Amino acid sequence: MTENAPLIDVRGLTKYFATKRGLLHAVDGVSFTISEGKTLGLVGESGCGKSTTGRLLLRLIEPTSGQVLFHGTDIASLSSGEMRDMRKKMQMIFQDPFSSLNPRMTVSQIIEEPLRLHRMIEDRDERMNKVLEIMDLVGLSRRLRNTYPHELDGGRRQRIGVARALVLDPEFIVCDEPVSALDVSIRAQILNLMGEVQEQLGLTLLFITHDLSVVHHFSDEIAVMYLGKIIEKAPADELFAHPSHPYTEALLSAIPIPRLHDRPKRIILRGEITSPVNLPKACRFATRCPKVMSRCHEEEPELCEIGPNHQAACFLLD
Amino acid sequence: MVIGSQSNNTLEIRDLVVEYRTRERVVHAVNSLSLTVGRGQTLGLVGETGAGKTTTGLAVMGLIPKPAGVVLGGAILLNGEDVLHKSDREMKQIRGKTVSMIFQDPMSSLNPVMSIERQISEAIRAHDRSLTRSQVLQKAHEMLEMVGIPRDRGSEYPHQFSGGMKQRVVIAMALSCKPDLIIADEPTTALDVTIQAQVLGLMKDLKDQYRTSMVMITHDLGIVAETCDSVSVMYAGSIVEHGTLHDVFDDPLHPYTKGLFGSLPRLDDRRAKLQPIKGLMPDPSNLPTGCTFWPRCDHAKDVCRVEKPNPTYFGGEHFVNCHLFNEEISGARTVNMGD
Repeated sequence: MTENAPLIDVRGLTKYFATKRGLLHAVDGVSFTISEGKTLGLVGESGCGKSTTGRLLLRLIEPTSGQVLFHGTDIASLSSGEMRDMRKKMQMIFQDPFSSLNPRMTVSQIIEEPLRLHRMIEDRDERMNKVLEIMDLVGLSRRLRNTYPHELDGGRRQRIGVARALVLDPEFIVCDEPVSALDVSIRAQILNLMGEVQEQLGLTLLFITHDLSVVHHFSDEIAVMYLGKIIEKAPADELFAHPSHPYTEALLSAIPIPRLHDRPKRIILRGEITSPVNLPKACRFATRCPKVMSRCHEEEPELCEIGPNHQAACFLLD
Repeated sequence: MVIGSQSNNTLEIRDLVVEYRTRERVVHAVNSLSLTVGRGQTLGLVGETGAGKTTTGLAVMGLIPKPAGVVLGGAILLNGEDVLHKSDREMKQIRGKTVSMIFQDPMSSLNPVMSIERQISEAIRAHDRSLTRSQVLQKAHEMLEMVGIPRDRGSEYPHQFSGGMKQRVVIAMALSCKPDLIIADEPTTALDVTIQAQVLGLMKDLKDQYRTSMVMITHDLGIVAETCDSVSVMYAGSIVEHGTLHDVFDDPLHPYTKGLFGSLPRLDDRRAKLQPIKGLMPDPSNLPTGCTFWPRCDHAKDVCRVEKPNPTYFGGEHFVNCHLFNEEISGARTVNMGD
């Protein structure tokens, strides 16, 4: 395989949920690729569909339409047995280390469980060695192996979440708000850990978060989602240097910056994200956009190339 | 340094000690904490989970959960008047009228089965019995419009509002009796960034308009930079560093303060490696002796393990509680006891 062949190739991924009030457009025609060893940051506010996208990528839910290609294989075409094998290569780290760990299992049992479920290492001692190895890798002291999650703090629990995701030697990990529940000093520890592990193991990551300073620090490329669509996508530095979509501009300007000098001008948006149910055919950001034009209420802009590797969906950029 | 009780401060806390006692253990939540909020000023109270920020806020409100929570000592002066020895009845008058608190989760302050205009009216009537029913309602509607909610939505219930709108309702309620001090406990932590920007902007405008003093409790140094005049950094129940916004942001001195800044991703250089603080917050029921930060401190010396540091002042109100400076000072920097 060539070096830059995408590991993940997502094409027109769509997920609608039927609700009492109508069709909820959770994810609407999302396409992107992630090259091997790279990190794509997926940002957006609550309800923009970023977590649903993550779940679709792992086929934890079935898409309404669209494809997810992993090494060129459409994962939707796999039988449940084949999908089971595929899951070894695709793992997930969850936001809340308090609810994603079984409280009745010890640390080593939690980390060992995926190995047992996938019958990866049959020999018990060998399996335990692998668990201890991973515990070393994520900085969990071996003496903690017989403790229970409730005895540990949030940072250590998230290390267990990372360890559990790593134990099967995956190639791709979806990280859904992995550090949002953690305190600043602990968050930095976990981010550094994830960066080191990624480099060491050559992992490919989808990093889902609402925290823009974290995503900027951690991603090679960033895609901004709004109401189920990607509205802008660019390499991390490019996006922060030249945000082009009015929503990206407002979103970046809203980050509270912990310094006193050279503070950027803030763009305050009117209103709130509209309901993703029964969306009209119009730009989804039109109701809040400070630069809205009449055309925005009549047509929907497509994601277009506006620079090298830089795409945005806005009529202003035509 | 002597602080006059009739000074121009809205809030003064001196050597406050609060514990939570359970059958198994004693949690030392607040340990000899002192802070001051000048009239019309906003103080940022910064720290991580378990630092005692919320307990400090609750102590000012007289809302420390009993019987587990015990205020063991110190003084809390609101407009120069000690509130620690007030009766429950007197505290009821002070809450809302003199000091209000805004919590992270708006639903902890809102009644789900009462329309929002009735809830705001209730707060107004509790402190002003002279108004007629229609005057109260009129005032409730004014408050709603002030926080950007149209008056015709007043008859709706909390569940009909989004998170950002609910927090606006809570702000309207907190401001309805024009208190001298607002304690905002992580008021925007549960909100999306663009909504957070709206709510912070609103709070700032209203604070300026009413000349309200504020304590902004947060873990986010970005929010402090945006809304505060001065900062107190809290660790394990006491203040480790305090100064004006410029003192603390331009010249952070305490290793913990520096660690907090080092833990943040830098927007100007995304590849800069984060410099986290090693280790974890200490167990508040089993605090380290001496300086509570020494087990996590890269500069810890023998004296740090045994002796509590005293404040060292760096001119103005900037001080730091750290042995590093108690000694270094004699050589390198000149002490300037609060000029």
